[in-house]
Amino acid sequence: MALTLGVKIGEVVDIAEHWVAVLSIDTRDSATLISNEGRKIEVSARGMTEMVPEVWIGLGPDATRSRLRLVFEAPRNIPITRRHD
Amino acid sequence: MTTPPFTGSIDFKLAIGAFDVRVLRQARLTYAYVPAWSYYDVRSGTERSGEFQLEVSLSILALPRSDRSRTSDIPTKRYWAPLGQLLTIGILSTRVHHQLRCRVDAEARDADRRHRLHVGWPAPDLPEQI
Repeated sequence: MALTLGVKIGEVVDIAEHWVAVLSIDTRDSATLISNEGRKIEVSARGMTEMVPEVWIGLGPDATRSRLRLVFEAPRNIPITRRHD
Repeated sequence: MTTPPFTGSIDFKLAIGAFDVRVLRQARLTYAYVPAWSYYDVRSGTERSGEFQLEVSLSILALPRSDRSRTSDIPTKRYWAPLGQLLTIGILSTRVHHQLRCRVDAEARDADRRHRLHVGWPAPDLPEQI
């Protein structure tokens, strides 16, 4: 399953028992996330990064200063949802 | 999570090549889409605006009978084989992903237009009329 979510800086995405938040948008093709463990994760539109086993995160093209699209590749049984406060 | 307002599938031809052999297969992209633009929500009967979300899966129609070297343990009937990981960034080109998103968005806009007209709401003009 490939899932693309439009998110803003500071927004949180829950991935099963984990979560990531958008820390910064560095360029049009790269951004930094932070995980629930405090680990910084660089994501790029040029490839995907494995966050936890079987869950890969990348970046859609053309991020703006405040918005980006996160691309997730994961088995369907792993829930990935945008967190609404 | 609420059910995305636009769901559907798009069929297209996919060429796969390896070792100078090329096969052409039918591919099916199944999507569930929440656009970033305002849409008529059929369930609530109101106009809504969501946050962009696109979930896609890809399947290829496998044709075992087309393989002359088949063995007895290969299924003999056509079946849809999941191939979602082909959508991982870097396997297909950015242009393919862009086209994919444009196709899904165009289908959703068509569906939204039909939904609005069905309940007597004004609908945006078709692209050809702009």
